[in-house]
Amino acid sequence: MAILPTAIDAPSGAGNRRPRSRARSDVASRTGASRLSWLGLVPFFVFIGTVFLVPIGFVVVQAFQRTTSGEAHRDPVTQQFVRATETHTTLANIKESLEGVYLSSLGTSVKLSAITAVLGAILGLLLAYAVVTSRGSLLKQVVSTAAAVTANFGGVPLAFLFIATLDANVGVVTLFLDKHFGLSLGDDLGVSLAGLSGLALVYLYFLIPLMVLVMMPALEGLKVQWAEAAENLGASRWQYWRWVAAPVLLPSVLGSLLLLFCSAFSAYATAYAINSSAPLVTIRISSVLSGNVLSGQENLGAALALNMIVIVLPLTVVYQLLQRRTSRWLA
Amino acid sequence: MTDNAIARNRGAGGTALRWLVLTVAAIYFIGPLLAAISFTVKKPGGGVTLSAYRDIFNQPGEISFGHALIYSLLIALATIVLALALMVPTQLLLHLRLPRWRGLVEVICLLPLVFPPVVLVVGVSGVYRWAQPGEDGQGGAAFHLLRFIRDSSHPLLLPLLYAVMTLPFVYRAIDAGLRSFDVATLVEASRSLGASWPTTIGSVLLPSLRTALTNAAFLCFALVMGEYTVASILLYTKPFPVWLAQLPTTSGQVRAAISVFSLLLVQALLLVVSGVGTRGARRKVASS
Repeated sequence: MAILPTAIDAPSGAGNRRPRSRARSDVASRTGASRLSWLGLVPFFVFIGTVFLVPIGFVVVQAFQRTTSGEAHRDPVTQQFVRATETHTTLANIKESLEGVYLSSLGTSVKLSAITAVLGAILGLLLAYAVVTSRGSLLKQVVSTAAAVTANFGGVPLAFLFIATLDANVGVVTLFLDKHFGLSLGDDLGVSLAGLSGLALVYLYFLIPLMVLVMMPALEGLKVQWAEAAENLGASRWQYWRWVAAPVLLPSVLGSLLLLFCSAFSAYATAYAINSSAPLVTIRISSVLSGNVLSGQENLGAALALNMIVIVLPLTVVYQLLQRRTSRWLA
Repeated sequence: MTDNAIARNRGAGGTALRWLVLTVAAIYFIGPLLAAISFTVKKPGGGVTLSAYRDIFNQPGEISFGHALIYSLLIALATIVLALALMVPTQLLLHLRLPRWRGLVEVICLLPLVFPPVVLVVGVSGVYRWAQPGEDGQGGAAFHLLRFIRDSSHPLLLPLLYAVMTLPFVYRAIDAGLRSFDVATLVEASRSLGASWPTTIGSVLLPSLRTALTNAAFLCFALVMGEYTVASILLYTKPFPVWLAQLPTTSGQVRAAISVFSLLLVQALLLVVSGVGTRGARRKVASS
């Protein structure tokens, strides 16, 4: 518990943007202070501002900056060579981030995410439906917890699971097919774990569960009375699905689709553990960030990150609107 | 799909389709797990061995399996405490006093769900590049604080970032919890019976939110225990996923063994927690 005060106060002190951060959240707990109760929201806004919005702001600003270094000179105190640096505003990073390997990695990421999101949404919806309509409550419990584990914990362990299964040299299934059927996974079946088809296969392993997680409550929210009412009014099952269930579910299906896309688009751990040179934008960013200290490289990283924001931001807006629509019927 | 109904009318075709879907899903989801298990127990010359599972605990390197696991566990704990301490009062306030602000807070809270963690990492490294000491070693208290948070002797930065990343789950869980009972009436009842605010929160509101808080805590736990992107790019080497990923390819069997082991461990924990959650909820219903 001791970590708490430091952790909450820290960012507020760091940014120095909101002197009001001294106000405690327990302002809310003082009766009769309703005129001041908005002060209780200050910790939240200070926290989200300094730990989320300020860093995002830095991405945007630094994407348009480049630092050039001047002559090296020896620091009188530390005796190390330092360079005087100069920062100026430029479009060079953006331009570079939209050329060559960087542009193609962005395209590959978008394509892979779109394909896996659509597949994951369809398959996840089918699975969620099968689970919701089945009798066993144990099945529901096991499926929803397993889905939570694969969708959230996933990452590196999932990658290693698939390496053990499908790796071109040592994978269990690869060797099995080779031994018993004389089939080569890569040459005959066209599946290469390190390639995009392999990545798609692994992505689905956490995207389908994510779809199941978000669609199960929505499917359970379909009221039996609606089906009965439709039936009593003489509607066929097809008409019920077409005119009642589908319109109610559509916003949440579309919202989930966007969520899956963003989840696949942001994926880094799984892809990196399987193929550390996979042509994806997240992997390019990390290699730009951690790879070397060439001047201007970090700004290129910021420009690449900005490209991701530009793709994700409109989806965020649509997602939030769809969430509103969803909660109207399926609260 | 056309000949199906939800929960009630089940046609024969629907049942067949359902079993087909469930079977295919079972093969796809359990298959790699079984394959990986068979991979971990395979002896080079043929036969079965459990040595990979024994070797989990004596891997060479900076830290051991247990250390990495505990390190991540502590970060997860800090994240959960921070996220709940921030969001429970905030959301209570939104429900009781400031319903007009709810929309804005919700929009902000859901943002990290769609924002790539990589982007957040780029931003954070940008902040730290800016906060680097200049030639004259300048920098006020804010700079010192920033550098203290990033100090490599402790991972203080990670819970802060993870609290942001888990915000959507925490917000939703608490929100669902607050909607599941009449908060205002309970608070009024408690206050008019003479209970102080701390008592009201501590013995009326928090117990009613127990299931919601357990769910939120568990999602945080699963996310933090598996988080690799932020930790690895910011060069923290001790969290469990980073430790797992840096194991040499030569110990492929051990890597797979640890993966299987950790997946099953988290799954088991989640089953236990969700079991406790439902039992608690049932008891609450029974006693009310």
